[in-house]
Amino acid sequence: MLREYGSVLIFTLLSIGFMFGMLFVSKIIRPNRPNPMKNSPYECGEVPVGNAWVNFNIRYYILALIFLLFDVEIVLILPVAVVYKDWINNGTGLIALIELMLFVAILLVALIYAWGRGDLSWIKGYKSSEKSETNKR
Amino acid sequence: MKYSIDICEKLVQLVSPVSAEIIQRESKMPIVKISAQEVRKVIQIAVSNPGLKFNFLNNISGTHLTEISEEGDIKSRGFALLYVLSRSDDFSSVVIGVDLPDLNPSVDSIDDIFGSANWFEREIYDLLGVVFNNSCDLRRIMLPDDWVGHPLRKDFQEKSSYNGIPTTREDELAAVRVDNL
Amino acid sequence: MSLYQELPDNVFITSIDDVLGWSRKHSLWWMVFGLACCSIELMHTGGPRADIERFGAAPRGTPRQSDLIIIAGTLTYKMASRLKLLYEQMAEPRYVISMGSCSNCGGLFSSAYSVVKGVDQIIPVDIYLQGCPPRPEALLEALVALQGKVQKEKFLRK
Repeated sequence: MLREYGSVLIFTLLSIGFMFGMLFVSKIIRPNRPNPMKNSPYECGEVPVGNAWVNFNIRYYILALIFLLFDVEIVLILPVAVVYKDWINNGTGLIALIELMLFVAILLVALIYAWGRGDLSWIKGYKSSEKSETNKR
Repeated sequence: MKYSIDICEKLVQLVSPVSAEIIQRESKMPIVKISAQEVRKVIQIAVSNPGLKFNFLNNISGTHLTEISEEGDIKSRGFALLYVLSRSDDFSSVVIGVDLPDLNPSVDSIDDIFGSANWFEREIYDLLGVVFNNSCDLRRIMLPDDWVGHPLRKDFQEKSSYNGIPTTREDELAAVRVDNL
Repeated sequence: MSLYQELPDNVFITSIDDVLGWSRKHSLWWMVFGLACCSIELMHTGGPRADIERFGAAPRGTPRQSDLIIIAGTLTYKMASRLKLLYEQMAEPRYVISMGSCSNCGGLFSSAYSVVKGVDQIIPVDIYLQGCPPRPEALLEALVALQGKVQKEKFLRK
């Protein structure tokens, strides 16, 4: 069985080596002549004005946060699905199911909370912002 | 855009203390000629008067009037501006003409009555050098901002280079041109 | 650490030169710089009948990703500074095709006050393509001529 791991190792080393080799060959062949005009930020030919870092919408942060929570939930549920058949054979299948459903129910409360606050709608209508105003009060 | 002598007569009648005359009566486009100080007043009357109700500015065009003698000497006689107004009821139009002097030509801007007048006035300023007083935004529109001169004047002389770029190109085919052989 | 144009003239690496030339000439990505009527013919060259992408030449919108800029149309003085900056922002090795009479010499508008009399007063040009406007097949011929130039280029030698 160790042999299969060995072939995976060689595959990995070859692919990493290939990648680095390509980049190395490109590096020694291509010209490298920086000058200030060439390094200036591209703005369709105009002289660039203003900052390149702008504020982005806060919706992305909320989306990422909610995704993180439910992604961790999925990660914890998936191994249960792998070993579930052994537990059924053991006789503890029902208990495992009830525990799993309890876990999902607790996180469902979190989902309902986020849904009710209007955090799941991408386009914020007036209604959801009013709701968050009342929640704040 | 129907031009008719009746609309011109009506306009002349309704702006009555202001002296206006109609020129080019027999042509397809009679022009109501007024003096440069009365442009705003006349256009205001043309827009607001219920008998006229012109609500669309079609165009403002300008030209440099000159007398060119036989030797090629250019004698400037001033500038002429034409304002073309239309109305959407019956799609008829009237043309109002203004004569401007040769030195420092200027006229009041109408871009608070018609917003679209701004670009027309910027173009005339850019290419002819006519200054529009009290304009909200008078700057060059077509030529680069650091251009010197007003090209559509008949006495415009091209500079030899602009920001280091030469304005002429040497004739690369001069050696093989038929009249040189 | 770059071997580009570094090896002295008495080093011969013929096959590598050929392979490098062959691979570079079949992937000349061009920057779309259509200014006037020639850009219509440029669009047609990208269309199905005279397909420029079968030569490996993919159109790009930015100078950073392109090795070739096809200047199609009349260049005015106002646009000249932008073209200069765009050409400087292209990475080497870079090539220029001047398409049409207006970018070759000012063309039809060569007595106008606002037209640059030829794009080579601003940037160096590799291929001049004449026509007003040149047909798509003519642009393909210019591209093939440029491919010939790229193939013969001694990429690693001085």
